[in-house]
Amino acid sequence: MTRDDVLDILRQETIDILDLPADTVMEDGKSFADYGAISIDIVTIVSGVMRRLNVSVPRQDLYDVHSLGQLVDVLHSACAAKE
Amino acid sequence: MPPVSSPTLTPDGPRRSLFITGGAGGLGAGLVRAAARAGHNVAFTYRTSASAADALAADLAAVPGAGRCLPLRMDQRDTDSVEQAISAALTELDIDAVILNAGAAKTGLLAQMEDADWLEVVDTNLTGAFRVCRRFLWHFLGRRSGQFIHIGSVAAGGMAGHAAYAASKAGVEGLSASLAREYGPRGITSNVVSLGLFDGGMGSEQASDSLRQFWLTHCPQRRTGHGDDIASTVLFLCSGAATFVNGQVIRLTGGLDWAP
Ligand SMILES: NC(=O)c1ccc[n+]([C@@H]2O[C@H](COP(=O)([O-])OP(=O)(O)OC[C@H]3O[C@@H](n4cnc5c(N)ncnc54)[C@H](OP(=O)(O)O)[C@@H]3O)[C@@H](O)[C@H]2O)c1
Repeated sequence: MTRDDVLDILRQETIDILDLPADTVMEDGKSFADYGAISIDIVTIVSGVMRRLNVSVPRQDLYDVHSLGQLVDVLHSACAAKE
Repeated sequence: MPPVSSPTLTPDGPRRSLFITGGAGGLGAGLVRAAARAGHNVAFTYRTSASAADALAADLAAVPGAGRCLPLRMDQRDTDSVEQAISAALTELDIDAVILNAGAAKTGLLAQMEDADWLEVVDTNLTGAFRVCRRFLWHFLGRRSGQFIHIGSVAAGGMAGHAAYAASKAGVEGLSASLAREYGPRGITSNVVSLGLFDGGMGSEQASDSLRQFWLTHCPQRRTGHGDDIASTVLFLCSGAATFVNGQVIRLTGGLDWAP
């Protein structure tokens, strides 16, 4: 699982939950709020991505995540740790 | 946002995966038995009753057609213990519904109650339920479906000699109603099954003779509840047939919704 694969799954879940256009591009430096997400959307997207990746990142490890790029890094590390 | 999908029912019927807390206790063991015999897979927790939990799992393993049983140690006063038990359950089973049955009670006059006793009851019954729900929300949100069923008590309306227990069970009703509102839009439901006086468990061990007599005199059905009364309601709430039941307190009291 490459970092780009993780980003793509995150993109798909975000488009799905926020009902965004299919060609939406997700930028590392942006936050979910920049795409119109509210707090419950964010938890739903992140838990959906974790389910699809079959990883579980402890809640506490997500406290310091502020950008999409940071989130992709955390999820990608969790995938790497599992492999 | 896309519509929330209904829970998948297998061709054999609604075989679900359930997580039952306090599953080796008086009423919990009956629930585990009924669920596994109905073909559901069950991860259940115990705190001190390790040998009863193992014996229950071994019994059910020998029943033809019974679902899988997975006993797990969990103390719901301890966040790490909760997180570990639930993670272990989720590596084995894609849990569809959580039955929050574990509970504790301490009797005594409020005027004489020590802080430690109050805190222990509230930590177990209310904060413990919160810890379990919080962990499972990440799982349920990921699959966009799931059911919480809290075992409550008629004591939630107040009960002499049981202030901490009553307050904790009233709190559970608030917790469940909040879950129902906050996560209903994501396909997650939360309901309370509120019990009157039941045979078994703390109903047998902690109820005084006078409470039992009061119950048998005033309950319109002139009886205490049986394990089967709980199992049929809880299994209905866990089934795909109950996904529109949300935020309710369902009373299993034989019609006496009041404790002295
Ligand atoms: N029986 C009744 O008449 C009645 C009436 C109204 C409501 N209820 C409710 O029904 C539920 C089941 O009670 P019961 O009658 O079956 O009583 P019980 O036999 O005393 O069972 C209580 C269960 O809770 C578990 N437990 C206690 N503290 C725990 C903790 N800190 N962490 C995790 N698990 C813990 C116990 O596990 P271990 O045994 O492994 O330690 C046991 O399995 C409770 O929520 C109770 O409030 C019962």
